[in-house]
Amino acid sequence: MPLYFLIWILLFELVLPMNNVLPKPSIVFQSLSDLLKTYGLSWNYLSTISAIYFPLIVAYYLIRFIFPIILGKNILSDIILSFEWFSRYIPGIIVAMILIYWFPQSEFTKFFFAFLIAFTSFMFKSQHLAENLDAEYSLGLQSFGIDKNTILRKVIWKAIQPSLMAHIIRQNIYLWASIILFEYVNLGSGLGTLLRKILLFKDFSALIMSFIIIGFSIFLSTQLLKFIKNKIYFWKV
Amino acid sequence: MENLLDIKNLSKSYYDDAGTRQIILENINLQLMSDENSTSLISILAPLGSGKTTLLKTICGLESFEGEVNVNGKRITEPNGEIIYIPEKPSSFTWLNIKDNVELPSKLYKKNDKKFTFDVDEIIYLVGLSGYEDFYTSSSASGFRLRIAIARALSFNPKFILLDDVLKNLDGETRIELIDILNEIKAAKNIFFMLATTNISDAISLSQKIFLMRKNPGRIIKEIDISMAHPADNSEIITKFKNEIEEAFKSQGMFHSVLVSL
Repeated sequence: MPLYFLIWILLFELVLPMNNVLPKPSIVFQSLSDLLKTYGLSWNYLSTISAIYFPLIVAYYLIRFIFPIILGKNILSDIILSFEWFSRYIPGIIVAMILIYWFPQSEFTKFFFAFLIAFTSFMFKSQHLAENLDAEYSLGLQSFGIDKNTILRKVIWKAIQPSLMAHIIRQNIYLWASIILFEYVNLGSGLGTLLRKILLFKDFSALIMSFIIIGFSIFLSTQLLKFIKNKIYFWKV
Repeated sequence: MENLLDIKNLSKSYYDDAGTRQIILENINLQLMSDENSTSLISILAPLGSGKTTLLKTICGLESFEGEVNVNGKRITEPNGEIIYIPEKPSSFTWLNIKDNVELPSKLYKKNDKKFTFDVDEIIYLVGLSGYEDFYTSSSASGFRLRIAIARALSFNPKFILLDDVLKNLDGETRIELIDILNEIKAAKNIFFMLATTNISDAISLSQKIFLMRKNPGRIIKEIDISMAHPADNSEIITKFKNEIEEAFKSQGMFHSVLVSL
């Protein structure tokens, strides 16, 4: 990654003349102040970040709470899991369009949309992980007279954490893309709305600077999630 | 004289997709009296697919069945912690160190009627893991996993520990170590072991009594009493028992090759 930046700086700052392929790095970095002052980068950035990670954390803890219900083989789990069909065949953006139609320019809808994506994705993943876990994992403990609910909460949930965390890391970029797209269409606040304004003004250097900021943020958040996985969910099952 | 273990007419069947009744276990009867306390390990010796695992699971209440299982006169209808089942590939909880692994069931058990008074260090010593208390196990270390599973079971001070072909996946050296450990635990603790195995040598070297089981459906065909101190180093006696076992299976139209004879 740093190598590409170096090539860009060398080629477009020092070697090549001004062109429409990529702007000069110095102009791109100058556009940061425009992004902050004119486009309201700080607020929009905060809006996108909170719309991604707040629902993600809520979804994770809610799944943790209802985990025994999902695996309970009862009518409630059947109803919850029947939604998997929708998530398989209906792209998230369709759901986003409907939500935007119902609640135009609502900030709450953005949070709800992010929550829906994270919740359904984590729910189906945790269910599949738990069902694919070796049955012997819980059988041995059941013979101690420990109830299934406790085994699911304290043992099976724990056992699937490394794989669930790996899934969350993979979903991170998908959540970023979905929320930016949502904001782009919804025109409320957030980086998607900011990008739309930049495109309207045909501000190429601000566009590249936004891409750098978004790319760097996704990189940093992925590294942070990987750090959490390696430090907290270090085990292999 | 009280029955330590009393299995009466235990049968297990299910209906397949075509609606045909498939019998896995048929009319299993098995009694061990309390005066047989010196008998601390019995084996169920049977070929693969004969229902050994199902038998063990029904004995400890993990699966429903027809018939009756009583331990010390108390009927078993659901798992109660008095009969602990150790599966063929026991799990270790890889996010916990060995000491926490051993203590896990007592921490998760929520019924107040059981008091835990075990010495975790003593148990870890018994299974040969002293010095490894703070180690984390990888999911692939099968010998470690089995020792931890035995230690976990000992922490509950159960009446019975059911071992489901647990020696099958171990390499030669680990296998010998585990057999020694089981013999030491038998001597140190008043716990009864039941080993389901396909291996004639394991059955002879560990057990005081062997129940031979046939397949299709699973049924006990013979009970062999191995009334000697320890036969493992007496090749003549081992050969005698092997021949007796092979004859019993042949009489049922089964060849001994369905069993492992090391």
